Amino acid sequence: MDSFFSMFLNDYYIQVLTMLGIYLIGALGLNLITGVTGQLSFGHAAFLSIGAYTSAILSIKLQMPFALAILAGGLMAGLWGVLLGYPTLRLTGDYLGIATLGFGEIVRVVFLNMTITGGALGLAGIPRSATLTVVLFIVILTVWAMVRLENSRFGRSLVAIREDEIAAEAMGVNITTTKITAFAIGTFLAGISGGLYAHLIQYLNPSDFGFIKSFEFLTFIVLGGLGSIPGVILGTSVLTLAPEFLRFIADYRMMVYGLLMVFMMIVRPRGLLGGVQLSRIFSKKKAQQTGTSASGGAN
Amino acid sequence: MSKTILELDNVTIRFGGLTAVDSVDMKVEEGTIRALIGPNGAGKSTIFNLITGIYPPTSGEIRFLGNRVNGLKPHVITEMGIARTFQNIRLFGEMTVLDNVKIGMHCRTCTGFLGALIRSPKVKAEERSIAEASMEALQLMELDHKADELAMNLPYGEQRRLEIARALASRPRLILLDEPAAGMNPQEKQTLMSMIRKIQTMGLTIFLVEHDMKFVMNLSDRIAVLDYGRKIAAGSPVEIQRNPAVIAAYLGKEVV
Repeated sequence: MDSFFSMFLNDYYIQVLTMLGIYLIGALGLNLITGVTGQLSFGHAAFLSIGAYTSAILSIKLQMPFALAILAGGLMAGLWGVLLGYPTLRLTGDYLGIATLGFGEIVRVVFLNMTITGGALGLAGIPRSATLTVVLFIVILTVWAMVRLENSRFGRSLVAIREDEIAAEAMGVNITTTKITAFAIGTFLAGISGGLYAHLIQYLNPSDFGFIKSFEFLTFIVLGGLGSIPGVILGTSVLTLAPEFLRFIADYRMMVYGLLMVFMMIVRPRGLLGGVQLSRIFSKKKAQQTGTSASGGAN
Repeated sequence: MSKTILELDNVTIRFGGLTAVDSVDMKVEEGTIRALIGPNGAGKSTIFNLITGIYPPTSGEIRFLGNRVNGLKPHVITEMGIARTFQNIRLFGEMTVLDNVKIGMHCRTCTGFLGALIRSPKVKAEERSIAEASMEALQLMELDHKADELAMNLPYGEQRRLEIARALASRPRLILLDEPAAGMNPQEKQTLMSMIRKIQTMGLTIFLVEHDMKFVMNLSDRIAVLDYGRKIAAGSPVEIQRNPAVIAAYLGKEVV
């Protein structure tokens, strides 16, 4: 299938699209934590780096098969997600944000000082196994999983926690375990995303996973519309592709990018597709049909 | 004499130097409508928060069907069969009316996130039964025609009724209503009253806090009066209306 893509796209576009797919997986993970469950996380890049380094080291040192290495990276990130989530998810809003920010910095500094990660020199020689086909497949799988979660008992309890934690608890939702589960899934996806990143770029450096990267992921989902799956896809696509398409204005590139973001936030403060849910698009159509028949009956 | 469903035994809670609820004893009989009244700040909502586990009492014991509930987490207490509404409406605003009620069913169902992904026939059947039961609860509160609207778009009176529908969906044996008639017009109050009576006939026990005296006197079997965290009176509506301590608490003492 990769040869199929290369019939239409040159290497540059394939690289950009693969990167977009990788970011999408991570962004969908963050969306589950921040957009759906409402738990502010400033440390998403740390989980990407955990997944990236875990899978890269397994690939290089143990020659582990690609799929297994990626999965192991995701599981490792998910495990750290649970370990971080257990003590910190009692915090709310800004406080949780600061705690995750701190965790992100700790992870970066740890990777900078470990010998197995190559420290500040970085880790090179990772096989380039993440093709567009593989990434696309995982993206589709992730979107499918997220849509299924959205329309489930579990998904509803996540939104309930975002909307009103006290009411959710009073309605019988175990908020501690539900939040930790959401955090585990979201960080698992970050780990998968990081592992794919490592196997695309073939080189890792702790400075690639700093606070700026975490913030980038937040802008992806905020711009698209927190909690909306189509929104996340659109937001991530726009913000990943815009810098590429703005290359022709060279020096002014990042300035225009910044202006674009300010403008969009003024025009659509809840994000491009804020409040748009795939399931609701369908149920609305049904509601309109039954709505007209009901009003007809009232007359 | 019917069975005691809820018992408060010498319950006290202090917030720093403030004793919000002071040695309150209370017994609620199964199948009755019990009201709790008192001036603003008397500690009525605090008692609800104690029963539902939002605060643990400083001392004393709360028993539901003979089992001690203080110290348990709110979601566990809900699972045992106590549901509630909130004085300052706490709906899930960005969710549809139907989804709000579905959350009420949370503790009576079991699909986790893996089940949601696999979506086996069993999960689908559960999802259908959740939808059906939720619609029934909405019909009871006459909100079924609004099922697909967002909760935050409902008018105030309907939001209050939606909270009751959501609480009913958890299949409680005891339902705590915190000022259910607040902000409603007389007509809406009348409808609400008949709805609450209907809930009673379904075998539920109702415990409500309310400021509207006409509403309380018409509806309740027994009333307890709270003032400055202490229970100053308890009895039938007629007894309460004649009780001098209650009159003093509401209107102040006559200066001779």
